[in-house]
Amino acid sequence: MNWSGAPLRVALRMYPRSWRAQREPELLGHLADSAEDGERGIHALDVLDLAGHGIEARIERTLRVPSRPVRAKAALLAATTGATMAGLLLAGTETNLVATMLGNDPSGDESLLLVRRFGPFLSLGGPLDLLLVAVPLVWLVAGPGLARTLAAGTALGAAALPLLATATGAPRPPLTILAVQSALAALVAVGPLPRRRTAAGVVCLTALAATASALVLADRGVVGAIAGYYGLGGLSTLDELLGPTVLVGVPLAAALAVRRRGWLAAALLAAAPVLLLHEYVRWLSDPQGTLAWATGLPVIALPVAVTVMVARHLGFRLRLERLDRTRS
Amino acid sequence: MPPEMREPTFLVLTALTEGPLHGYALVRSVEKLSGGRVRLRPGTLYGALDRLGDEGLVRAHSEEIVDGRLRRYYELTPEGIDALSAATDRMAANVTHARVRLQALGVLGA
Repeated sequence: MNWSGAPLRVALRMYPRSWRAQREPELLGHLADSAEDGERGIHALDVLDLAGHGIEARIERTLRVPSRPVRAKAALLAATTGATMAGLLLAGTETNLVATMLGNDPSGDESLLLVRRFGPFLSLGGPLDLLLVAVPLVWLVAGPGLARTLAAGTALGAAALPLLATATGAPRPPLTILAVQSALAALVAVGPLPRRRTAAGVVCLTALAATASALVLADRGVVGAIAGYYGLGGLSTLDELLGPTVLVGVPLAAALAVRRRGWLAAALLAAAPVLLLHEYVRWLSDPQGTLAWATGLPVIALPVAVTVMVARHLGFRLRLERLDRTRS
Repeated sequence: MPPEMREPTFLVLTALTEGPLHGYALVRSVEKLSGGRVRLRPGTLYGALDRLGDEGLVRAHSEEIVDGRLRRYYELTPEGIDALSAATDRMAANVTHARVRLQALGVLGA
C-alpha cells in the first residue's frame, strides 16, 4: 500500500489547523527527505505515529494541557463517551426510552425493564456517567486538583456500585462499564509518571474489586455479558471471574506500564464514535431492545489497543536484546 | 527534583550539541548516536520539538529552502545545555553506583 498518499493526508488532518499552518511545510519537507532515502521511506507506523500525535496536539490545544499527562486523554475519553451517548439518547424521540433509562418507566410495560440491563443510563449508573463527564469540565474551570478528587470519588463510586445497587434494590450497570470506567477514573485520579506501579496497582485493585463484588452478587461479568449479547450461551463461574480480570484489569495495568499512551488514547478516541454509531444504528432498528454500547467500546477497543501497544513494546525489547547479543 | 529525561529527548538534545540541525538530520543523528536503537518517527520528533520549545530547551535557528522543501534548523538554548548537562550528571552518578555494586558482586572487573 502507498502510505505516502491518502493515508498520510488523513493522518496530517489529525493535527489542528493552527499547528499545520506553522509546521506542515517543514513536516512535508521532512517526509520528502525520508521518502527519498532508500533505506526508509514512509511506512504504516509513521502514518499511525503522525495520527496519534496529531490527536495529542488537538487535545493539548483544546484543553490547554501538556501532552504528557495521560489524565488529559483519559478524561477526554470519558467525556467523549458519556457526552456522545447522552446527546444521542436525548436527541432521540423516544421519550419513554429516556425516562426508562433514568429509572422512571411511565408506561409500566415490564418488557421495557430489559433496557435497564445494559448501558450506563440506569438509575444508579446515570450519576456515575455524569460525574465522568464533569471531571474534564471541572478541570478546565477549577484546575486539576479538584478534578482529580472528583475522579477518585467516581472510581470509588463505580467500584461500590454493585453493592449499593443490591442494598437499595435499584438496577445496576453491567460489570463491563463499572470496571473500565472506574479504571479510567482511577487513571485520571492518580496521574502518570513516576508513580506507574502505584497507578497500575490502583487500576487492578479497582477492576478486581468490581469483579469480586459482581461475582458475590452473581452478576454475569464481562465474558458473560459478551456471550449473552452475541447469543453464545451461558458460561462457567471461572470464566466470569477470570474474564473481567484478564480482559479489563490486566490490559489496563499493561497500558500503564507501556510508555506510548498516546497510542491508547488515539485508538480509543478513534474507535469510540464508530462503536457508538454501531450501537445507535442497532438501537434505531429495535428501539425496544437493549443498548449494549458499554460492552462494545471497552471490551473491543481497549484490549485491541493495549495488545498493539504491548506487542510493540515487547518487539522493541526483543530488538534490543538481539542487538546486545550481536554486540557481545 | 526535575522529572527524569527520557532517552529520545536526551538523544535529541545530545544531537543538537553538534550545532543547528533540521528535522531529518536530527533523526539521522539520533539514530547514529543510539547505534540504530532509537528511530524517531516524524510525529514523535515534532511533538518532542514542540515540547522542548515550550520548555525553552530548544529554539528555531534558521530556515532555508532546498529543492523546494522547507528546512527549519533547531539549536540548543543555554537552558537546554544546562538540562542536558544535569541529565548527564544524573546518569553518570547512577552508572557509578551500579558499577560499584556490580564490582562488589564480582560481575564487573575493577
